[in-house]
Amino acid sequence: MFYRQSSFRNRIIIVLLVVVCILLITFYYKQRNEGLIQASKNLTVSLVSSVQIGASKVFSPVRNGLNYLSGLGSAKSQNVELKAKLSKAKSQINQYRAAALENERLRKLLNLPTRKQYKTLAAIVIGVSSNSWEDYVTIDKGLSDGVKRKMPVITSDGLIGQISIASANASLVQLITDSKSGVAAEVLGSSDRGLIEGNLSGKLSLDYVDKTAKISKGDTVVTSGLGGVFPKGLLVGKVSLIKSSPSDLYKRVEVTSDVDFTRLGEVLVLKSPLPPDTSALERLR
Amino acid sequence: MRLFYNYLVVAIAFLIQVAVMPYFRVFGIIPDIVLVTVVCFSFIEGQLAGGLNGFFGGVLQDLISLRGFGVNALSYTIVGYGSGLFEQTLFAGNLFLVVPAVAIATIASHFLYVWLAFLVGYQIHLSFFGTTIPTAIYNGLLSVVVFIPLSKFWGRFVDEAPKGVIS
Repeated sequence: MFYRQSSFRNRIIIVLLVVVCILLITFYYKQRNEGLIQASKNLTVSLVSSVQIGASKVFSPVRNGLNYLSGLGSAKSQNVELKAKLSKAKSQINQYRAAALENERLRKLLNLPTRKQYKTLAAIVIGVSSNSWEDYVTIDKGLSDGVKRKMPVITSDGLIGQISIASANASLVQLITDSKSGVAAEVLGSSDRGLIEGNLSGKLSLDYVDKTAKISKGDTVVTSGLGGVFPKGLLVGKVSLIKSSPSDLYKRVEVTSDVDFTRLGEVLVLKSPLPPDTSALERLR
Repeated sequence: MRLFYNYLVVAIAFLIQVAVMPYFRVFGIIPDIVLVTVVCFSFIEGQLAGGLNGFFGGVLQDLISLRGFGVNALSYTIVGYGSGLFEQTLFAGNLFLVVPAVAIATIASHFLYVWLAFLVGYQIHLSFFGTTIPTAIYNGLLSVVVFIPLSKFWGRFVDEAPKGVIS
């Protein structure tokens, strides 16, 4: 038993705790993504996910209701805008289908490997990061569903991040807006490359872009496939701001994603690549 | 036994933090109920309990963190222990002192976390007016909800061991 009156003993205990913390930090850095600490993290994510599912069942309807009410005012104008976008998208899809078939045929002629198609797994967001330093979401799929670390996660609006911790029945997805995240990216239609990085304000920046790069506002930014985590061609966002001063080594490029990271609901995990589908090409022959 | 109850309350606070607090995000700011609980306990129980609760709460936070392990444990331990310095002044129940004290503890924990994260290789650009001050205000307000029930019912609930004893 220790009593508060013994301030010397209290200090000894606190010093010991500090030493334990330092040892834990060191121990984790030696083990990284394996070992006891990582196993404890996986177990915690798994245990906490069941509480998060319960909380999301209680709070999500309330939040959805509030979102519904707040969106009523702009619903009519949004409806008109979305209808126009839909008809445009339909005609674009037909063009892309024709281009994809042509691309497939030409690749075959030139003996180029066929682009990988990814198997996807739908997941529901059951929790979000609970501190100011990190940007992640918890999804309801884990190792038992075939989810593994570093698998990319997307929505219909573009890339959102990668699996950082995979437990038995839930996983933590590190968002691309997290300040520790880095995604190799390129500007579509050019060879200008950079690294998409997040920050605490939730904005994305395309860093390390050459000063001579010809980038304009509105250009589309996609993953470049470098680094081996994210496959080439996943939509990241659009260039929203370009700054360059003589003292800068690189261009400062800000990218805006179409994804609303604060209201993520359903996401897709990109699992292992599917074998190339050549059925369309066979039909053409 | 008293320490067990301390840990139980911190563990409940942790579950509330991960499952409920994100729904109370205001302008992107999420209050830290684990830190608030640790600091309020320090005001009631003293430095040692503050340090021990801080360590436990920090380890729990580290278990769901993407950034290594141990940084939260270290910063919460130091803040918990440091907050215990105000035990004699604030346990008298002066709520007007608890709110600013929790806000100051939040600012201290942010600086400590960013500094420790930097030492272990993570660069975090601290936004003092964008993140730290709003979180400090939010945590300060939340401390009213945490401190009043803790200070009123803690003594009655845990009566097997004298105050300040850990066993």
